Amino acid sequence: MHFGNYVFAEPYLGWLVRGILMTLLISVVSGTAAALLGLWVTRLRLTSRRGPRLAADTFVMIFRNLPLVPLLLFVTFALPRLWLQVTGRAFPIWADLYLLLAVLSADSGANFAEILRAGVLGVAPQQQEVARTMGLSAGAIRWHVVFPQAARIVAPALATRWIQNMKNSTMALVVPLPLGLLEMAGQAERIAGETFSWVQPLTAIAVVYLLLSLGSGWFLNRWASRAQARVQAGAA
Amino acid sequence: MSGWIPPIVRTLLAGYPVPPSMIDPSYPQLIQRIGGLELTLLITLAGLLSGFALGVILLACRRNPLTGPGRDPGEQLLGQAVRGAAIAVVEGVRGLPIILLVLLVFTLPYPITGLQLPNFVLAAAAFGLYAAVFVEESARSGLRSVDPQLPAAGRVLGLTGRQIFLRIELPLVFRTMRPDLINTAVTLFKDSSTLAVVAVPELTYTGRQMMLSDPAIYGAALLAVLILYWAPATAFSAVAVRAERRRTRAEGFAVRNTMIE
Repeated sequence: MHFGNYVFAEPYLGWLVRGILMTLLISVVSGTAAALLGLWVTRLRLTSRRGPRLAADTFVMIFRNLPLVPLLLFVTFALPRLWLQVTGRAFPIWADLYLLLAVLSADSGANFAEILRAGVLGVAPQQQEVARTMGLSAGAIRWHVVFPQAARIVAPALATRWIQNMKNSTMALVVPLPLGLLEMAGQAERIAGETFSWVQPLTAIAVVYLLLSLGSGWFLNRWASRAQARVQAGAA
Repeated sequence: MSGWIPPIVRTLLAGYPVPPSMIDPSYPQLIQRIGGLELTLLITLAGLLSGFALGVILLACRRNPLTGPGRDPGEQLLGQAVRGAAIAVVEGVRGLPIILLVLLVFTLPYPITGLQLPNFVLAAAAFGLYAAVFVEESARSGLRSVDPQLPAAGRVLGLTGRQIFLRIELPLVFRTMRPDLINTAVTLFKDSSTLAVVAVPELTYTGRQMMLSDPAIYGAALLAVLILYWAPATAFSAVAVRAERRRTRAEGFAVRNTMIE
């Protein structure tokens, strides 16, 4: 091992690998939760009942335009403190991971909901009328007629947003996570702290991020263009 | 005069006063004394302006005339290299999380070149790069919507390729780009909060300092920070939505299925 390549020596390599795994875990869990949340919120926004619709609209309006860094600071510093004052009990340290996941999911969920709504509005209203005439229930219309087509129409935007969610996992840098649970950027900062240089850890994780976003971008674009092809085929 | 503004908010708007010993005489004092929301807005503006210029340059590199027909192989190769470099910059910046881009721009230049640049310049550079990618993408999709008969008419009139690009295509594209530019401004405004990680005294950093200096105002300070981001961002998003609607109506575009981030 050369002295110039310390990032690829232990323990730093192990930290980086751990960071990569945490990044993948955080982005997949929060992305999946955000997709489900986005679907649910979209469903609520399109109902005729006022209460749920208003709640869903408010949720989207609030979380679409909140920057993640101050939001994470608020949720991981101010909320636990408030909790301590009210209940007299401290948050356990691992709770920060769940708070992080919740914030990322809420942020991406609101954006997914906004994208999906555009998709739902793009599905021809006659489709719903036909489905109703054929005797489908409201739920069946939603899940078998409207949402699948809506998702296909906005597939490219959904793909972009999924990758954005993965990139947002770096915002964990401002969350006081335990060392073992740090994601890539956190581990890079830890290595920089030990070795007094950002150059190597930063370059290493930048390369990993490029591979991750280009790689998942390639897969998602393929999915999106197939979905779009099906939309075109359906319209023809 | 502004006594009705609570002290917390006043500090968030203008930042903590900078001690004279921290001020670098070789660099504009005005920028160094600015902090809080003012600095956030200034960085957003600087990023937007430099990003606009860089975005247009990237677009020009990407569709440079050297790769066109009737050029000799040497020129073709150079043209391909320039185009490849522009694509690499766009894909590279787009593939990186913004925090990583900020960290790279703030930590790499010094160890590599020995050049120590002021924080404001680095921040403007990072967000200029970030914005350039949005601008390039928006301008490229705008170019596709330009009626091909207009450049053709220019060619008939004897304009050169550069004149067609600068005088016909770009002005038409700029008009269709307006909603995207507003959205880019909102994105820069929100994402400039990542500068707190590298201790630039903008809004988020000021809130964090406040939080660390006085635990009693944790919640209030951070809540005020969130509102100061949320309210302008929401207002400008609404403006962008209206501009988008006007564009869709005016140009008779099909509803675009790409959402703006």
